[in-house]
Amino acid sequence: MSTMLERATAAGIPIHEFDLEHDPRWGVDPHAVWDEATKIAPLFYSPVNRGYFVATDYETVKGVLRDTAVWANTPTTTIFTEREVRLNVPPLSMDAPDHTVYRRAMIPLFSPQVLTPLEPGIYDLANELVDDIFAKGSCLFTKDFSSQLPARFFLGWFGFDYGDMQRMFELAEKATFEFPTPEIRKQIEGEIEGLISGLYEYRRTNPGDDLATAMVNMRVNGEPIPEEVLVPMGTLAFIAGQETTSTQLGYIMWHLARFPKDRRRLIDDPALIPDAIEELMRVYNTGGPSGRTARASGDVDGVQIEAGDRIFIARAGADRAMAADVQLDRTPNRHTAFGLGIHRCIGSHIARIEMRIALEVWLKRVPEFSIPAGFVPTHRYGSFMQQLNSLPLEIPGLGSPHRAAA
Amino acid sequence: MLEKEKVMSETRLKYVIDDSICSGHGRCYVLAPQSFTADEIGYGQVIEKTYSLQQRQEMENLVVSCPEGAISIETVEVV
Repeated sequence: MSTMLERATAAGIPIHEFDLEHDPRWGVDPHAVWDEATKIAPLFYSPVNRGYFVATDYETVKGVLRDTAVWANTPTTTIFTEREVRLNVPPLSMDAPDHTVYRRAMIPLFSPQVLTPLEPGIYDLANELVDDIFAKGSCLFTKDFSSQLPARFFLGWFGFDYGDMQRMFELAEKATFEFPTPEIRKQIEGEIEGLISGLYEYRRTNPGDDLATAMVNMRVNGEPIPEEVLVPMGTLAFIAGQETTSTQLGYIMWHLARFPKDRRRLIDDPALIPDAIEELMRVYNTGGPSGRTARASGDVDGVQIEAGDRIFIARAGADRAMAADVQLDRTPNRHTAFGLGIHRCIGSHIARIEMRIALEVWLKRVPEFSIPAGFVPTHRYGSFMQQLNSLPLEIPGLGSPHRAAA
Repeated sequence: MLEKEKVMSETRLKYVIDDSICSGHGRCYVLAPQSFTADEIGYGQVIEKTYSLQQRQEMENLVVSCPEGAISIETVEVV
């Protein structure tokens, strides 16, 4: 059997080291690395990190995500880890036909129609977090707001009316960014699974109007979901419901802190906030699930694909390459920040609501803010996304934010 | 066909969603609620109506806003 490198060479696509593990620029200016990758080619081969193809433009990314006959999510591995780590996060780590029935069971819980009643609670939470920041007298946005809002909202909606919310958020972060080896992953998953099992047990005897109650009562093909599938499904919800929206909000506020004209525009016209969120998701696409493994022979842009081949979907680069400038009212805006195809983010509707409410409340109550002089942004890249490590904000009337990276 | 009937027939446009491609992003019914609605689990559904040929550009803007490319425009003869 020929290697990926041989077939890449035969097809004449570039060979370029795209190093998700060791390139120090990921920590300094990840967006520059994405932009560089899109300039190499729509598809190239990277021999580092155990080798993978890299898709960098919208059409190639879309083609791969659509071609589920060739590109599978089983196994779901990550490309940047020291050793191969296989993730058990159904239905994301499933393929059709299993994926189809599980996704269909889950999707009504997250459909736009059922989410509107949740909005007042999110407004209250956003206001409460701003109150806390004023009471404390300083603001580390990532720690005090963007990580708190999605975590506290989502854990409550999930069914946790007890427990250590801070620890639960830390676990979601670890499960996103901190598992170089299968052993470490297993340890983090173990702790999360313990929390999820406990929640299911609690909700079986204390049913509520929450996701956990809905999930324990869910039927797939007429049968309850076996615990060994239901628990990792809860793990995925636990991680994705907290960490993703938090990370995206961090980047959005980083932009608004650096570009006062854009901030002023949203303050003057809050109706523009939904479009602005789409545009800032395009420009600061946080990455998303990292790759696919071929389960059959196929073809991408003229390159012969064999079962076992790996591909990295550089969605952040592809989205940025659509337009170089930031235009808050851009329409249409076909970014891929929520993914494409059958594994599209199931939580996109609630994420959009959370981000809209966050910006509405924040800009109304904290219209003036800036980044402290001398602040040097740092980023990190993990299994599901890239993240701005910390964002201190200076707010008139408040003291200096804590400078240390959180 | 009688000349009179020809005159009365009009070429108009309508949206079509390919259900095998739609993944439920919901952009269509958020951006054009007068033309699309959601089914019971949030996938896009076309509201049955037709549009004049002058509205094609506006319709195409909506078509390209679907992340999956699941929406197309078809012509219909309306009597």
